[in-house]
Amino acid sequence: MRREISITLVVIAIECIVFGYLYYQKAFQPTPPQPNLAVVDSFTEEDLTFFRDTTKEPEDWHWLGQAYMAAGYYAEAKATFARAAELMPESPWVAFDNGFCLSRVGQVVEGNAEFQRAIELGHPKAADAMYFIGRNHLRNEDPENAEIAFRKAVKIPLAKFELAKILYRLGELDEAETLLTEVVRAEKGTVQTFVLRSQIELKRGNVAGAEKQSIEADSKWVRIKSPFGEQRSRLMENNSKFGFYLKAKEAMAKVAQHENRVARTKVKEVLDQEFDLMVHDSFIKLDIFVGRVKEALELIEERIERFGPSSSILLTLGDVRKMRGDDELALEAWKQGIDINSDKSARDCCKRVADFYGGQLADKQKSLLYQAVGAELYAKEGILLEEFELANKQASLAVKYNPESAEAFYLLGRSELGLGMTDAAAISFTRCLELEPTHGRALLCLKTLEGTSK
Amino acid sequence: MGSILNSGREKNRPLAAALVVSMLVIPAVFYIFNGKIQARGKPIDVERIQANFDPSEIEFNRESLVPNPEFGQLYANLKLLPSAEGDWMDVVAADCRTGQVTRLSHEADGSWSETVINQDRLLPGPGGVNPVDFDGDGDIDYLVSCIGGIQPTNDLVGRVCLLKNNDGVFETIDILDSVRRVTDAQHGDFDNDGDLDLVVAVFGGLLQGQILYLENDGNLNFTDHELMNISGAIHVPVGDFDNDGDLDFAALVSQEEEEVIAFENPGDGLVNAKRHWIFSSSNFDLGTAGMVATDLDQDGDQDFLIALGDNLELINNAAQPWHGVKWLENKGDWTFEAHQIASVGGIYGVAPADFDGDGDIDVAAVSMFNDWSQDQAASVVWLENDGNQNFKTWQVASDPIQLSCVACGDINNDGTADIVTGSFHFRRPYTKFGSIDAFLNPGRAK
Repeated sequence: MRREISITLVVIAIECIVFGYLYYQKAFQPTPPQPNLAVVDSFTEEDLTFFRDTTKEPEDWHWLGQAYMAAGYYAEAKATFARAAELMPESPWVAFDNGFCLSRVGQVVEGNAEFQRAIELGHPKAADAMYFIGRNHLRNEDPENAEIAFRKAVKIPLAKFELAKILYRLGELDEAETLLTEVVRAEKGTVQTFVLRSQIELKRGNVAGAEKQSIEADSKWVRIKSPFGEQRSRLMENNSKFGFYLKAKEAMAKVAQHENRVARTKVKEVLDQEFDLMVHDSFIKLDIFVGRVKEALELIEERIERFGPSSSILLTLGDVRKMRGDDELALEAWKQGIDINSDKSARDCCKRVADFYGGQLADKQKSLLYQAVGAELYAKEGILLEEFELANKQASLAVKYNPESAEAFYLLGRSELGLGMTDAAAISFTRCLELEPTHGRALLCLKTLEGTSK
Repeated sequence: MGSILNSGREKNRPLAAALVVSMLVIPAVFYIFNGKIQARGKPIDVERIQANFDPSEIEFNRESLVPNPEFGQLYANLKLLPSAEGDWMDVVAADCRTGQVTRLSHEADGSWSETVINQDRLLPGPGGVNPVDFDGDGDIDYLVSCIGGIQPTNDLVGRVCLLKNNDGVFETIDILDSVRRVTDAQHGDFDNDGDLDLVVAVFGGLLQGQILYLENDGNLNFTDHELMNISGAIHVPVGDFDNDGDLDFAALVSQEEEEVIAFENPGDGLVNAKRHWIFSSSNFDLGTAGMVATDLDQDGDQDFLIALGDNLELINNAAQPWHGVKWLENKGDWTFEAHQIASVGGIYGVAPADFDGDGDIDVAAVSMFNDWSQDQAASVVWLENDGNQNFKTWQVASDPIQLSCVACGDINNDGTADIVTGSFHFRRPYTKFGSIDAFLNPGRAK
């Protein structure tokens, strides 16, 4: 019996030592860094404090690193990811995130070591990691090693594009152009390819060729898909999982669901913490929707006070004034909206003003002029988006309503150019130049047309 | 004997049972409470970028020209010019928030009065302003470049406007419109025909931008020539960079290009200007944010100072080790040598002046994106020149934060160079708001 007791005692002693050691390890393990939370809103402060206080397992460290990075605490994120990497040395995801964070704070050599580790550990986006390695070499003013990395990541069109850019800078223009052609095959119509083509032509001394590419580039708006863009979206997504942006998302969802009372409380809570444009927009929409016109007007005025006028807010201001029956003041706001910008809201302002004058017999001519301005803006948009038929229709209207507008004829010419009607385009550009002999863009287009016909 | 043993066993049985239970309970207890063990170790060390510097030995005194802002102001550019009274200097500011260009004048009671120049209409995001007698009628007009708004857009929202002075009443004239975001417009008689022409940095939206030359026919009709289709042009300082008697200009191009391209005037204007790549970095993240021309080493030719600190790719910015100030030393024959003369996070504006009165040119710099989570992070610094272009960074202020522009001059007419800064505060943290602040140089060291 005594022997058995002795054995039991030994086992208990071993247990105490082992579990005591494990407890010590756990209780006295390093804790996450404490960022300066005085510089953020209280929602973010509360959530980050909670995440920090409940960080125990390696996965918690990994998440905390992501949360710190999303909230902009890069130094703390870097330290936290480093600890996560110690605890999970076999995790390619931790290595990748650590690499990305180190790159964000300019520690490019250390960042590359982590990206390399992520590749070796079998990260499913190994090519992305290699692309980031190439970017870090560029940051480190080391294009030679960047070239090696981009060649390894060449299945990513943007890596191939970066390669083309390095070669362009080295003066190897033919090889750069060959690569660019391959990029275009994978990512058709992307703006960067036209811009780089224009630069290549310029370096070759082919000014006309460069100008042609410039005109093409002007109406492109799609960029080559970027692994950095993907990481940026991930950061934004993480950002909306906690703190201020989570509350903002919830509040805006309530507005969208028309749960007006709850929405109002939530939106106010968020705006009390921080003036967020999107949430503030929701608040204005909410007040308009429930008919609180006076309150909406106050919010709009507050918005203009803080961020200044834009055609979008001036459009809303005009609409709210109109709702209140202040027609002249509404007109003033819409006109300012046209003056200050040329975006979609400015076009809507034009429509409002044209409709306003259209309703008054004495002001038919004014109405036509504003319709012309609006049509010009729509035509510009159509050209930017390469919707040339729409642009052509709008430019034709602009010319009809205001035959003295050089810009309208220029836009008509551009739309005709887009539709392949080169003769008609030449006539429109010529008419534009008759009205405004110094119209530089019309001169450029006409020159390019003449060059092409030669 | 056996019974004795048995009786001993009987006696030890409870003890044995207790020990066996303990043996089983200890791991179970550990298993149950394992998840609840609170870590009490030391927080792990955090390595930070240097954000603050030795306090300036010159004790600059802060004076707010537009005091007590309740929220972030959006001043994109400011210039100093002599006041009508000839006492204190006036400050002209481009205010992106209100769409106004304002002139601030020092009053006899010590306050500052503010006059809006463009009273006839608002401007779309005025980002640059240059006081100049543009039409040669003897009064000051204002040349304004407009970015359209603070949010990035690919729309054709950029403009160049002239606020033409008609006997004190200003008329806003659009010189250029239907272009993407414009960040700078500078003037000069490039073709030597007696009127002022323009060079314009159309920063662009997505990736489409331009560098334009606007040739004046003498009647404020301008023919625009595209010198280059490139996005990201920020500033286009003008000067005679090759000392041949005509005006050239240089363009600082950011947006992942990160280069400076000089345009050499052949003598008859810029239509056939020769391009020189005088600085280029493969570091697409360099963060070029501003450039001014100055003869920093006073050797008779124009050099450039470049602010490095732009960092807007992500919702939260990070100061980078390569941020700070670069000096491009003009070595002649269109070769320039780059020197990093300060490393400070998020530098957006630079301006030269002799702050310590020792005859050499020092530099003031302001930060928009330093590491503001550090309470003492520098927002205004000056770089002391030892006479051989070795610079020591002195911290002037850590409040206000998020500054975009700086101008230097003897604003209070006391014989020493002062610093005037403009705040562009649209990101976290929403504290330490500034507006237009002067840091007056008392002309003495601590």
